[in-house]
Amino acid sequence: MINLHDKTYKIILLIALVVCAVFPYIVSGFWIRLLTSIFLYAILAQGLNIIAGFTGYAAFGNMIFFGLGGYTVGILMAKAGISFFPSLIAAGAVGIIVAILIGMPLLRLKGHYFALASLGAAEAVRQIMDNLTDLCGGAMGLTLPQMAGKPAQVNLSFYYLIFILLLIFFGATYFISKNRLGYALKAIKANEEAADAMGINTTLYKIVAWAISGIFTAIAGGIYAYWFTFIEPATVFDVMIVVKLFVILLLGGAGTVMGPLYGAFIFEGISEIVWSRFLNLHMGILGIIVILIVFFVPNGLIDMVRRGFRLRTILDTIREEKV
Amino acid sequence: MIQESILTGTNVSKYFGALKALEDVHFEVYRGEILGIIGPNGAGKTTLLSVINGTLPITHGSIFFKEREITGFRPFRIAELGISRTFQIVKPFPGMTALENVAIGALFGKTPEKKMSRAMEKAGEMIRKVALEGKENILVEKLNVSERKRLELARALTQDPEILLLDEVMAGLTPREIEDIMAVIQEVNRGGTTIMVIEHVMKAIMGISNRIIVLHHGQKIAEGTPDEITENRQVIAAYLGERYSRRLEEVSRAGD
Repeated sequence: MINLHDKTYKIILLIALVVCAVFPYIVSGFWIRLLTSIFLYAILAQGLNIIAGFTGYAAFGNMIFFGLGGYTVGILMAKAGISFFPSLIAAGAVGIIVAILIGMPLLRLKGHYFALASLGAAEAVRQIMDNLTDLCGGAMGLTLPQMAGKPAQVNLSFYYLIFILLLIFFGATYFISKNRLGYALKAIKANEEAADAMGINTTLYKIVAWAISGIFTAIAGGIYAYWFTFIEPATVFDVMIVVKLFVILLLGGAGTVMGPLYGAFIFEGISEIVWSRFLNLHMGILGIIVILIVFFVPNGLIDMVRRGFRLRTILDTIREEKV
Repeated sequence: MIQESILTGTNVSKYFGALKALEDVHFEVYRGEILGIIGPNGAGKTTLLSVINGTLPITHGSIFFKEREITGFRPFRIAELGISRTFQIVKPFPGMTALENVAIGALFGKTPEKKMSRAMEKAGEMIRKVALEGKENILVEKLNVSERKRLELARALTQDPEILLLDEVMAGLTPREIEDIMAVIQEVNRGGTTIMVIEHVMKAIMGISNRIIVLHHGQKIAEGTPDEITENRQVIAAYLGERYSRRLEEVSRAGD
């Protein structure tokens, strides 16, 4: 049994934290880059987790924030000559504003309708960005200025930047999950009609959830843009980003605070170890993994570990979920 | 006793397409009373509660709470004003413990508890009140029907509502449990809460209600004290059929 209040679990987390803090001094550049991208995925997955995992709204269009965050940082840095950190804060603000503007009409929809409509909104924004050639290079993409310094130093800077943001965002999520806001979101997911009757302003809370999701995702998008120094609509507004994030949530456990991090580790682990050998087949393998998870461990691999790796518990879960 | 009206409905109507679930129902709820709502299946009882708390939009008519019009308000606004309800088909929050379910009631509504620890404390009190102690940390989906019904009551109670709308909280309970729930409802009522209650358990509703409204085919066919209602010819006809009611009358006349 693993429990967040468990003392041994807390100690393990603390050790992991220290290891991550000194990690770049122990290993080579490849591993630093790998861990950086795992952390970035974890932040993105946490962003999706707030709206999809906690609130129960499958925001398939969440890459809208990733792309717009990236473009905010890109345009401000490349065209307006503003430095990185102010640009990143602007990206977060864009995330909130767009979430509120799109959320007000879309979050009145329920279930699948919201998932489809959010996907449509993201596609519309991608088309707009494709055609804004003067402002951001349109479909040809946008090149950002590079961070000054040796490559090794740059890698280190991004590692710590993303690691610190990971701690902040996961801390914020933990705080939310233990408070009034978190309970409102969980109630909406569990039974929206009852939540409403209990005095929860469901529309407002759903918009708040998506705005938080928007900040996390847009800031991650902004960092991604500066890290890769090149963005194009086809990459940053790709629906596959969100599909990957859903797989991460499925692996780690949706609606849990630490799920996105565990999921990101497992997902990137699989992709590094297995997919490098099946380069042409990796989308197929991704699909098979999704099907297997949904069938056998619908609450995520971490939930399975938590309940002990017993075949009985897996079978029980399947029976409970499907009947 | 001077009776002050706390909730008033005028011409309350709810149509589902051509089906008139409620038609021009007038009702008056007095502060501090227990008002029973009875009627055969499909009479519109649950629809009436849903229209009052905003779960269902009203077709036409108006509802006033303490002389303020609340027609068309969203359910969360009604709950914030002080009207809380339970659902006939219970609607718990799965994935959460019994205590967390009740705590959500305490966190929102008319007297929202901003502090988590206080909400949990209050939830604990309510759980004891409905005799669910020991079940606090059990996931709601593991509770049985009777426990879920009581949990639903606790969740509404923790909001300290001025008006409590109860939709068949006693259905599926054993006689012993019904007695316990009746005692809880009466205790809450003595504390000043006005209660509207739908119930099929006749002994229970006749026992606790000050007044009763009878609905039939979406219309109010009778209103009065429990004694008046049991002798009302129209009510007997609605429940047992026109022929039975006529025969009953003949028998009673022959008896005189």
